Amino acid sequence: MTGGEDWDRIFTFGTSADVRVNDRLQTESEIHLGNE
Amino acid sequence: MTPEWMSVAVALPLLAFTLIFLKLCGRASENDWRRSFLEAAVTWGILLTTATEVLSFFGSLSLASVMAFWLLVSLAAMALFLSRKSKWNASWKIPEFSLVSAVLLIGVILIVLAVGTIALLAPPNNYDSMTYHMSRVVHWIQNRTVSFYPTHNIRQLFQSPGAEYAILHLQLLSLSDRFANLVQWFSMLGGIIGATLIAKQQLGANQTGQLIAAVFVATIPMGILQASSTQNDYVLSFWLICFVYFIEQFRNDPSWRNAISAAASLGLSILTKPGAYVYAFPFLLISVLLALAVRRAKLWPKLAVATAIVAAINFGHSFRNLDLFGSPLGPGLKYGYGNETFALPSIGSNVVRNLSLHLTTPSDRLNHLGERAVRFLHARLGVDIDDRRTTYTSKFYIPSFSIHEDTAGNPLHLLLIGFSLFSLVTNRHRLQWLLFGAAIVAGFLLFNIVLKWQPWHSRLQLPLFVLSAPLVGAVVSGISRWGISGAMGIVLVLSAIPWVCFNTARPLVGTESILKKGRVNQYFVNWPDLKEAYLGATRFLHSVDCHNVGLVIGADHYEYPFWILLGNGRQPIRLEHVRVKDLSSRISYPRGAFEPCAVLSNDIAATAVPGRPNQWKYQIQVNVRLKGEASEARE
Repeated sequence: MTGGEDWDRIFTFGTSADVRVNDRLQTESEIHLGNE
Repeated sequence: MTPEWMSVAVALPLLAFTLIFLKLCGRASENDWRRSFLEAAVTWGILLTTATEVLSFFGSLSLASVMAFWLLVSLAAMALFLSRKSKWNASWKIPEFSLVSAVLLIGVILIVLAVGTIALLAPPNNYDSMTYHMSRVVHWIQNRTVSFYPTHNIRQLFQSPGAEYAILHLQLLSLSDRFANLVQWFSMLGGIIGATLIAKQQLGANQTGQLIAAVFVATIPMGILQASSTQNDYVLSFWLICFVYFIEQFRNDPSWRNAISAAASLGLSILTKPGAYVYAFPFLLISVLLALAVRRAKLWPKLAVATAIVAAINFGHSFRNLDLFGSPLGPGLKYGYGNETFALPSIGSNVVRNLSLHLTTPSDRLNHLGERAVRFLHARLGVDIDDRRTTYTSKFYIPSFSIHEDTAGNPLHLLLIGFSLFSLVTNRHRLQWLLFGAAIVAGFLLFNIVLKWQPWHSRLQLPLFVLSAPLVGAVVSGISRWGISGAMGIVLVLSAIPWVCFNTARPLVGTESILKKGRVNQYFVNWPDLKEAYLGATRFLHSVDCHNVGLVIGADHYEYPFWILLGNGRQPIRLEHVRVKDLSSRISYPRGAFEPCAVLSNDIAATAVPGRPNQWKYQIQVNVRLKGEASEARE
């Protein structure tokens, strides 16, 4: 198993302000809000 | 899901130990109860190792099998205890203590209880535990075997697993990691008991000497800090104390019982940490040579059986290492730990630099002077203080004064050891003391010959400090008046207070106290910047429909908190390392094929902080990659 390469979406979480890795990314705060 | 009440099963290993101890006390009419304690611990360790390896071989490591095992052991020990042959001969007469002795004893008890409280209340949060000690345990539980698995951190595989076997059983039985720290704490307790026994039986110490030995062990700063952690240096220290006791007993009385007990202790030491080789070797050599000199031919069968016992205890782990890494020790010294030159000045450099780790004080000025002295000595010796052949880090530096389990020094204790050794040289003393002192010094020299210097070596030297306690107790009480010994003991007990109360990773008092701080926050105490990223990523994963999560992390990054935040192994989430590029990528997953629907990956970039050596600024990200149905569930 390699982990696969065809990933549909990437979400990034971090303490840094600049954590974007692609255009479809949600920010950490959006995800927290979404969960709540 | 297993019901919570089942976690009372965690008492079973303790029950088994207690029953074995009582059984041994019952038959040991000629012995001190402390010998029975050490024998019970070694028996328990052998049972633990055997059960782990056998159940693991059949892929059956589980709550049910481990519970059944300890239940059977407890029942068997109970049956033996109640059998007719067992007579209760142990004497439990409480010895008389002077006022100062009673104060010292109470001091030791309070230290042990306070550290035990920390161990019980705080979660495991030691740095190495977050990267590999605890991570390997949860992989084993998931896999139902201690077989190797693909991982980005091969220390999870090749490092000696003895201490983690004990944690594994407690973790399985308690359905949590609430008892994980107790393995090191119990080792501290055993170390204190064993040190007093060696002081008495091997070195002829009186009650004062035994008490000083106990105080010495209980107040070692590095020992206090580590005894509430899931590191393994105290576990090694305890098995070495057992080994030194039994091998010295064997020298005087080469019975089968002493031979087997010594071999089992040595085997368990080696299974816990390779430091066992350097620290045990001088004691082994001295005792075996002296025993052979007296009883030449009769000893060979016992030595052969003893060797087989040591090999059998380590067979499983050594075989797995041999199979993957081509050596029973794994990458071992090639991993970067081993010295690359053995020139005398280089070994001298290591001796000076390792000793300097214990001489830090709260005064920066004094520490600066100390470091200058070390550099001056190197200049005079003509040795590069940063020689990469003898230095694990890029540069030599003395860590600043700390109350941290990775770097704290033991200055008072080092001075006392130095004083004891010096008094052996300058005064006439018993041969037994000289031999014991020689074995300690030889162990330290071997340590310097084998290993490159590291700023974290104070931790690895803990066994030497614990092993020195009987000698310090015997010598100090033997050559000084009780008033001086008593005053020294009281100073040691008082000096321990900051280390008990203000452990940086698990403080008992203050605003960051473990009594006030939430459990999740405490996992990240040694790297708090990770918390938000880890929490965010794992909360997010809980919100998607994905139960097979891949993991891509650096070789020295925190893994264990992912397991805790994803449900402590109790959620139906399978976590496996993926895209592994090291040697372990050859291995198949023990649980079978794995196809993740999400991958967690760490992206931690370190930038040097200008003008501040050894300090790094981290940019921390955790990425969650989703595919297929998991991704759609998020829409």
